[in-house]
Amino acid sequence: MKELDQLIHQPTRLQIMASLTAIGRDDQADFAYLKQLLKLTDGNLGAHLTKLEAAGYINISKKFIDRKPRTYVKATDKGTEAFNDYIKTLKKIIKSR
Amino acid sequence: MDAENASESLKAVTSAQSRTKRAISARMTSPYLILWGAILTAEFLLTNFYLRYAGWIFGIGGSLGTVMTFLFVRLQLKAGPVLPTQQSKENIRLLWFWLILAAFALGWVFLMAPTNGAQVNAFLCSIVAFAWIVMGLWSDELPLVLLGAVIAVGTFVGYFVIGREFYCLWMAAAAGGIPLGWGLLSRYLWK
Repeated sequence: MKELDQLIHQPTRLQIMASLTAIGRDDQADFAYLKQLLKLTDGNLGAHLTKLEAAGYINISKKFIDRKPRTYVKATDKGTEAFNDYIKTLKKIIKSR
Repeated sequence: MDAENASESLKAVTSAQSRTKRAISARMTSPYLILWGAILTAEFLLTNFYLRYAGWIFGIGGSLGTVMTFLFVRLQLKAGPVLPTQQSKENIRLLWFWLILAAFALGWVFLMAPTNGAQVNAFLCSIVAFAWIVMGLWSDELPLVLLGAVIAVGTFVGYFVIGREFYCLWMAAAAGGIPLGWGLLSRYLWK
């Protein structure tokens, strides 16, 4: 059986990936909104996003809207695939019971 | 990892995904529900007391609502919880939606041939109900479909059962109060 992706397996990162894959393939989530939705602090969310970005699972971009910087986060194709594989593996484990 | 832990993880994922979808949907739709719910409530209540100004009341209310809707759309595109891509498929869906809505409106006028204010009014409210049902079906949001169905039933009951005397008060609650309450609830419960 395929090993679980340990990067996604961490509960907070699992929630982040679950939320990002739920919002739609091309859509980007606002950092501030994601923080509020997942009830995380700036630092905590930022740290987990950095790890996911380093693995190529998400893409972080900054935009200036009305001269104010806003950060947007999006799951990449690689990240979506890794997340789907993770779910498949979970289902296999459940079936093997 | 054993099967029990895997099952719990899967539940956590499903829950996070549905919470995200519901929260974003509530965030995107609640401003319109609150806006149009408040406008329709005010319009019907004012019409109940100043019937001869109904045309002005609905004209001004509708214009205000349309301007505010455009402002909300602009604000959400710029600073909403989700930034859609420019070529998002939703835009094409939205275009189709308005075309279907226009076809529905033309079909309704052709079939029903409204001859008085109450008919035109019921027609406008049925358009609102229809809009919520279609938007709910396209966004897989059953609560919106239900909301549209409740407004549609409320409109038909108001027109055919309640009668002229209490029609405006009934519609203030059915077409205005329900979406207003729904919008406020979803805004503050599902944030």
